Amino acid sequence: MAAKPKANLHALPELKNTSDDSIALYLKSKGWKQNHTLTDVRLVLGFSAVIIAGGTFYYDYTLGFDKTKVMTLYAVIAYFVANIILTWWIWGMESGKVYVGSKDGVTITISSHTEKHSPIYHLKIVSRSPGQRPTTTEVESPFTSWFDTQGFLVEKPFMTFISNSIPSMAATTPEGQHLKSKPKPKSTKKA
Amino acid sequence: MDALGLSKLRHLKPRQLLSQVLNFALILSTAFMLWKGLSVATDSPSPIVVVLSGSMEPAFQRGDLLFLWNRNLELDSPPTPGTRVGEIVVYNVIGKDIPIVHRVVRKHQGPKTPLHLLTKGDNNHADDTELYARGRWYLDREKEVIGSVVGYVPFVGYVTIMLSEHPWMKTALLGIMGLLVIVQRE
Amino acid sequence: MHSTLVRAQNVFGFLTTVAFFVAGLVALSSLLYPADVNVDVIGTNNVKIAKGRAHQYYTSKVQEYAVLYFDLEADLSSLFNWNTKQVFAYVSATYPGSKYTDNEIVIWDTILPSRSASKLILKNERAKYSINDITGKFAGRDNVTLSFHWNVQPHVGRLTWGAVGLTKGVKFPGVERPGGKKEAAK
Repeated sequence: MAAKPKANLHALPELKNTSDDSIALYLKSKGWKQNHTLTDVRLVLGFSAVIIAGGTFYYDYTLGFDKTKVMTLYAVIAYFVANIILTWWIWGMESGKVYVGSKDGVTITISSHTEKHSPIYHLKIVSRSPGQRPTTTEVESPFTSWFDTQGFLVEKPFMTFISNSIPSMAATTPEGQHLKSKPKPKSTKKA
Repeated sequence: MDALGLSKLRHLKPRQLLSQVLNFALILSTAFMLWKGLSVATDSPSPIVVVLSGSMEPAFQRGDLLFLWNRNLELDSPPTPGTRVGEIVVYNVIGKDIPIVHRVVRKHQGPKTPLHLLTKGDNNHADDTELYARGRWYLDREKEVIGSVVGYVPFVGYVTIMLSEHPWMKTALLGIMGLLVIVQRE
Repeated sequence: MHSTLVRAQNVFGFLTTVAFFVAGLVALSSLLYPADVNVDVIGTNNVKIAKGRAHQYYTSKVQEYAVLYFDLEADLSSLFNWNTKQVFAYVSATYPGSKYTDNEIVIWDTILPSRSASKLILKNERAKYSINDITGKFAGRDNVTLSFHWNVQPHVGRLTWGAVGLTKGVKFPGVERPGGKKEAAK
């Protein structure tokens, strides 16, 4: 990595975002292929809305209010419909998912969340292998396990945490042996 | 530069960068489309205006915010009361660019003539004939009036007076807002 | 530094929200005070027609003016509640015509700043504004009626209007001419 990821230790969203971003980087280095469909659909929906607004602005600016009244009405409706779909996509479909990817036929979906005023990183990993029922693993660990006092993300403990949390990696990765703070599996249930 | 967090932008991958740009664009476009929605609903090109002069004091002071409504004109639907004397209208004289908020003191209308209005500021001694286009004694309701005042919020619009009187503040504010939205992630 | 900014942002956001809700409640509270305006007397007396220069700008056109005296007794105290900034009270004259069939002009108005000034007693009051028509003709007009109106200006919220007391229509005489003959408007 060119520069070490750094986060402001006082800002919980930054700790979370930096950790989220590092998951994708780490899994990429381990041969996982990320699937960007969720993000791409969000971008397409969002930018469609922005283009509608941009067009409305242009026609309103060049032709004036009276001539564009009817078109503006339809544009306003279309814009807010696009936004409703976008909101549904973000809350219903993306819902905290920070990584979707696959390797050797196994597909994993990782969602993360934090709770207010609590420096604990919660991960939910849904793993699908062909011919098997998907398994859901929920793990959590304090951010201090992989952020140093200056706010730099230390790769090793973080990667250990991640690889131990993903069922198909936990068995095979050597990092598993250098655990400092063990990720505590909160619950492992068959879904 | 790093204090502003710009160095972080360089580490973003294309999709993340696009997401940040989208967040910013959505804030701007949503504000604009809400304005346009209100505009279409009230049928007024400018449904909210800021009072710029003291000619309607003590009712309105500089910086007060006015909400306009431009439907139910007598022209549209005769049975419902449209523009009547005593209403406060906002008009843009053809060829002049400053919206004026004054009270209607006369109206004259016929089946074949447009609704003519004469306006006057409560705080002014003379009526507005002087402000109208040269040679015109009355306003044309349909062409010149952009709405009639229905709602009032004091003082809130003073920010826009400050911004338009000191243009550098506008640039600075836009810049700071843009930067915050791009740099910050929720 | 960062958290100070975030905190300032949160405090500002909170204050804005509180101000917004308080303003909304104050605006809604106006609905609790129904208007109950008493108008005891409204009447026209002593009408006549004079000819003279237009009081409007850009012209020295000689046209007909109506001279009118009226009586009014009204109690507007019920319009004053904690969300009343001022009441604008006015008397208007409504009259028909041939080309312009629908005419209404304000002949007298006043601003009532407080409840203590909310009782109006006018005896044989002369119209405050000149009474002339868009066509320049006023002599012989029939069916001129007076009505009394008010506009409540709130501290925040919706502006409201009310009106009572359409008088019986009066007929204006023709123009007094030196020869004593009368000339009626067409």
